[in-house]
Amino acid sequence: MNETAWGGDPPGHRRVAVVGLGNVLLGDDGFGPFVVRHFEARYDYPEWVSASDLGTPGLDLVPFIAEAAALIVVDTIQLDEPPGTLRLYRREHLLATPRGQRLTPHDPGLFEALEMLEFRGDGPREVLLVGVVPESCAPQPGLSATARVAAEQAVEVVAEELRRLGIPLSRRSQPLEPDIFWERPVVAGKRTV
Amino acid sequence: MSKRIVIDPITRIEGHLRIDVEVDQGAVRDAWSSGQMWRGIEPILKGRDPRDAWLFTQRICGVCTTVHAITSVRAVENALGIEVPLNAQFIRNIIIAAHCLHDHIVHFYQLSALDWVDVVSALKADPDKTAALAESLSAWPRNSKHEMRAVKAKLTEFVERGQLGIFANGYWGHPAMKLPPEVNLLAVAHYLQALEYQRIANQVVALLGSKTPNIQNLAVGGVANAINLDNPATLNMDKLYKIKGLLEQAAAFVQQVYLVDLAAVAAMYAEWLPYGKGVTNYLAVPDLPLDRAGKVFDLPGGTIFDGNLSAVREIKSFDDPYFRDNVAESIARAWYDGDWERHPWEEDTVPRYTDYDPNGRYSWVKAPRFQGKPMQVGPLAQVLVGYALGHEPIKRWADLVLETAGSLAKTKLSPAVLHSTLGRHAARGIRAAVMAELALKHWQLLVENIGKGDTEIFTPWEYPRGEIRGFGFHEAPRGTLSHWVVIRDGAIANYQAVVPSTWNAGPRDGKGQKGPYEASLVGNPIADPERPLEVLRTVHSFDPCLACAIHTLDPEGRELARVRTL
Repeated sequence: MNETAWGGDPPGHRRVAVVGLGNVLLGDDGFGPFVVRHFEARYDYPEWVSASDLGTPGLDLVPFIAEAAALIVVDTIQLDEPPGTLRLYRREHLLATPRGQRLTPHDPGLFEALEMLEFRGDGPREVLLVGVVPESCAPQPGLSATARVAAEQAVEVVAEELRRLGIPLSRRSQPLEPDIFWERPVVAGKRTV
Repeated sequence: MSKRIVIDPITRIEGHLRIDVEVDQGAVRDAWSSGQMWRGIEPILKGRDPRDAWLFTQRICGVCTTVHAITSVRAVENALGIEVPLNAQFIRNIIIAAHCLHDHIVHFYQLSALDWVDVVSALKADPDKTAALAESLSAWPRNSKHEMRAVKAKLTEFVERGQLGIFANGYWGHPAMKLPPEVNLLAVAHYLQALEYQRIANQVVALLGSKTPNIQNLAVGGVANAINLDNPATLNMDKLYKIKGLLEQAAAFVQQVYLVDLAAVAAMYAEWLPYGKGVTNYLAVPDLPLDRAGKVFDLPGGTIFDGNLSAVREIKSFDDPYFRDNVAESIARAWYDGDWERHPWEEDTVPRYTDYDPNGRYSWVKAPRFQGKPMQVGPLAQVLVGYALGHEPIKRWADLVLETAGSLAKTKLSPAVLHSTLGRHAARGIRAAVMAELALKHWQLLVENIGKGDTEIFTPWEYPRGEIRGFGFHEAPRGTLSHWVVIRDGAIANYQAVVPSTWNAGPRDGKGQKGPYEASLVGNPIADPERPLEVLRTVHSFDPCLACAIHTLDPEGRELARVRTL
């Protein structure tokens, strides 16, 4: 994980942001974080590309994407298609999606963040949403077998998009162990420090 | 004849907050608040190592990550009975304060100002008059004619392209919208500036937490920020001065823009001051500890019952039995198995969904009670408790806001007007101003402590055999947050999080007492039942946060929420 994210020194380049969205405690909703963590374990990429598991940040997404020239978002989507279906969306499509009534102020998310930046006149020009149809988002950490298969594909879709954007990218000869902390088994019993 | 209005964000998988109001003769007669999603953290944490609990709890909600992380380590530290080094307290405190500034700014400008500000009306504004008005209210350098002209041009272009975008859901032209065009334009300008300043505040969280959302620098017993003033890889003078600069910028925005805008909105909506009072029992916990043990604090906590400020009772420490022994949750009207009111350590979480029944069970949210009473939590609770206890910064900033709003409205405003929808907004701004001051104070305390040669950041500890119990609290942006943990032989045996939106959005209890959202809606005016803007104003004033645990995108653009009148 690029831990400096946008908190570090201003980069010389306009950044490219890969963000995984979703709640890791809720089954397949953790798809985005899972894919991003696998991507960064598998690929080597320049320091001005950030790969971040952002959870479900609502409008806290804005700072990440405000600085980015290009954005790749991995998330779950609602669609009448079988679980595990991957679907790609571009910026124009996302900006044209109609909005519903805001009831709680934390409803806003990706679409609203993009619109806010559009209104301010900045934000990423290149946007790709890599969406998956989840099988189950019940409150239990861990992806379904279906989503796991889709995640393999999604990692490669992310890599392909970065190549299309002209980002120098290579597979690590020794992949790192991705930190999927929410899938660690529960170890009961007595422990001391 | 009375009419039922349901506001229900129907999709996003399980849905989130649903509000039902019964309207009669243009006013709300009764109200029901329902959380439409179950989020039990307890089954997920059972059996795990308590050291990992904060990593999981900060994932409960994507917007409130920092606050759950902080509260979780405090709960486990409380169970272990350990103290935390001063540097760790100050670093946590700066994170808390910076996160709060970020959160309060976003809440007002991005998430609720548009309940009061008519963006379309801003198109009719004269930008030069807007600048003149703004400059008469504040010394903020970014209120110039040039700035206002640019914002108006941008807005005009946006609308002409038929792209209202982020503003598309607003109730433009609603009869309850009252601000003159110039004030609307000023608010739009500050809406855009707020995007920059909330980010500046959040950069502090990222610098100290190494990442946000989901900070990485905590540990049960302290923090993981190694301190070495000469080492570029650790917390050093360079980073510390960067943090100070960011905090100063955020503080200036809060003092010169946010507070002034609040006073102006409150003054121009003075007819709203009587609405939205609801439950006048208040609960806040002390925060920003100044010592290792958590017995001395820079922010006050306590309880107020029936709006009686003179009978305020203080909560004094991280271990205060007055808080520990008086919190319970009722499931009488919520979708859980059983019918009890229990202390969090004694709770179990067995979901049992039955239909939505306003006369029976109707919510996934439990009803927390303090000494059996519903309590309102949030910035208003802390401001009122602080005011009642004579907390100097709270009193100074509260008096300033009341005086400014009063002089704009040409009337005298007393603290009693704070028991209201607008009062909750005002209190959030007052708290932001206090936090901005205290953030810089705790920065100073940290630097002075390091200057004494203290670089300690972690207290070592061990799990004892057998069972221990702990609780941790934090006065989060949305109010009192507490985590309750039972640890048996080093593993979690029970874990409950009693979150601010549970206190405020909870349903009725076994005695039929309404929760704060429900009570605050009763009496609200409703000009147009098809467009219940007034309900949103009052609900939004609490800064509700039930929505963030799950958030599946709907890129095909189906209906995400709707208003139904029955």
